[in-house]
Amino acid sequence: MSVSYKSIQWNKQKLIYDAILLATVGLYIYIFLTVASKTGTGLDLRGIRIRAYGSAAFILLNIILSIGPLTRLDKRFYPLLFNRRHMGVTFFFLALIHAIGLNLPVLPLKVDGVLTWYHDFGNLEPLVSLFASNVEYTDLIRFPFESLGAAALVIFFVMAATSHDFWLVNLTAPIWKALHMGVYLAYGLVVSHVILGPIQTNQHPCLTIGMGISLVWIVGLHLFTALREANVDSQPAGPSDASGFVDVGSVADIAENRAKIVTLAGERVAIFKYDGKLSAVSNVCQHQNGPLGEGKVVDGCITCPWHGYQYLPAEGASPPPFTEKIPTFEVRLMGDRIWVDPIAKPPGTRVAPAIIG
Amino acid sequence: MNAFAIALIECLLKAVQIYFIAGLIFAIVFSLLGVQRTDPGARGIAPFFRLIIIPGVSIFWPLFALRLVQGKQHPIEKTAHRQAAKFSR
Repeated sequence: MSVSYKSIQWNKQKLIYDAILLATVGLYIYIFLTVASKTGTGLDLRGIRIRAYGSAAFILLNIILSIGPLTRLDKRFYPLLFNRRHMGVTFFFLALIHAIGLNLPVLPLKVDGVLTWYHDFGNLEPLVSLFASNVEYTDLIRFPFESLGAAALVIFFVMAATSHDFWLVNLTAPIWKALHMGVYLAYGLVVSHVILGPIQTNQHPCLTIGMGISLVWIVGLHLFTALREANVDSQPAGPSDASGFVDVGSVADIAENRAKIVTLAGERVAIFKYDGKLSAVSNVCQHQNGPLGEGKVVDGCITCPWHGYQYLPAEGASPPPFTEKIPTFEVRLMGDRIWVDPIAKPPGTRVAPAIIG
Repeated sequence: MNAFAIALIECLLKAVQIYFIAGLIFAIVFSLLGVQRTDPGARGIAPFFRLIIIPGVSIFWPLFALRLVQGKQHPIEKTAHRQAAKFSR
């Protein structure tokens, strides 16, 4: 949480996550290089390596884009989300190696990238050659697809460079999230990069089939999840009483240490049941705007399912010395019906919980 | 190759390069001396944290330069509930 920044917040689970991630990427590249070298693709080893890193990056991008919607559909995917930013940074480095290669004095592994292999033999700077060697932007067949990949790589660089929590605080979560939504633009650029480039010259159907599956999966999954979420938000809140409090349901609707989520005042509100009490807070975590109502009360604190940020239910604030605060709502209990004031209290305002029974 | 395209691309890349190098110089100084003035969460020596923010600050350096000049810290986020709470006081 936010007492002071650390470079990388590793714990045992995250280390296991990263080890599995890196081992899987390494295994994929090894298998790709072995199979492509032995099946006679007509490419030299450098060309195969460029495609190995490019395809690894693309597959990882598809996985990254799938995690968000999958967690909306099934909570069992949350562990994948917990360390997604490391996956994102790994993906960026794969894409970077695809583009510029890998040639560090401290590493024994040397890999040529697109820039160093296809654009490093003329009298122009490789980067200038990349953009200037083909300017047929009006011709779909000869389109300079490299520029699409370069544009996507710039977006991925901005995302990787701003992946630390420092950026969430300094740009604020809504702006940070909007910036990182650029991944969808970048995905479109990468798809166009592959369709207008490798697919046009590649004779093997695998690439075309893979790209088709990717497009249908990513677009379909996002549309399905978005419609489902929109349906949840469009559910009308219950009737309101003379003082404006809204009937949001019965105590029996909520499991112990869990929440019911309703939409009030233009955003979701999470009503938590814990220790014989009810408290209502904004559903939006201050960290990455994660869905607090899908988390649970752990050690007396609402715990965000995304990254474990915690808040005291009645206080709307993280336990000291942490400083995160979220808006709170007044709750009343009449019989077994829960009534919530739809007017949010300023973040961190203590609201006495409603006592059950 | 198209000479105009080459000249234009060289010019654009040079502009990006100058922006980024200026940002990199600012980012190194900012991460060492200025970051704690705009963000109280940046405490202690934390060398890897300071290193890890350099690429991003090299991109967004005008934002931090402005905050330093104005003596401002990072803003508080705005969501529907936060906005509603602000006006309901």
